[in-house]
Amino acid sequence: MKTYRKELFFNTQTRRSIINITSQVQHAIDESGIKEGLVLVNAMHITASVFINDDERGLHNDYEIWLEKLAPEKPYSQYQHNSYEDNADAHLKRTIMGRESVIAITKGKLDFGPWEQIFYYELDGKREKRALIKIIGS
Amino acid sequence: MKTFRKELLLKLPTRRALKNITSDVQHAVSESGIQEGLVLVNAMHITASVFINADEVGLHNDWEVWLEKLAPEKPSEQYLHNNYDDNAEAHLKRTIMGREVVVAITEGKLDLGQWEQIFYYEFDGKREKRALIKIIGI
Repeated sequence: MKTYRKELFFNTQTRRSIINITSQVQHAIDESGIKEGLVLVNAMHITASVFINDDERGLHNDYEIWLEKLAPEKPYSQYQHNSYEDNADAHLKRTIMGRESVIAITKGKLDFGPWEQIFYYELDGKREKRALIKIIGS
Repeated sequence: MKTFRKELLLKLPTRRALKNITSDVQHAVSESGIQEGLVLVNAMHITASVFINADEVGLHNDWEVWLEKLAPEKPSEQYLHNNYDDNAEAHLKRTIMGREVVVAITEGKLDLGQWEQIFYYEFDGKREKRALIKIIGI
């Protein structure tokens, strides 16, 4: 069995941003040489998500509106956590979207359904952040 | 390839409670002797969550308030499931917070970002419950 580890770096211009990282994950699998196994992709920060869904701009906008309804950014004073910071809503939004994805690797490729794409969802950006790729298999 | 399995026993004195289990999981990783791989940590009950976020008491209170807004405990009769039980909202809260996490193991350690901590979130406590740790790797 082999393992492989890689970090992806992000520094978004805006507080929230969705980035398609599918090709970067496939690239890491190619580098690893692993043909059959699992790849874990997770945000290394607790105000960001890695999730799988559709690369469709309208849907991404729908996520923005829906998350803002479920966990509004403002007023900041509604959250106890914001005594220290201003990002409590980002912790809650990330909870809805999830921390990580685990994807099968088959014949050296991400074993995906037709529309599955992997995204990094930044919920408290404008600073350097990371995602981890860990691959195990043979 | 090696595998390792361990159960954590949890008996929390209140209906809802958050418990940081990061050191328990690291202890299992050390016991396993696995240096490179993946660890799955999941609630074995459907009214509890395992999730990763910050160990900050204000944020933990924000979760309590937020989850109660999204899936209120009372009135109990608003849920059909409560014809049999009184914990329908605990099933819903656990759905929001998730069942499990998968964490990379690198050089025998949990490969976590700076603020990532692993929690067991009990939504229907005052009885003995379990979480599962399963480790695979080399």
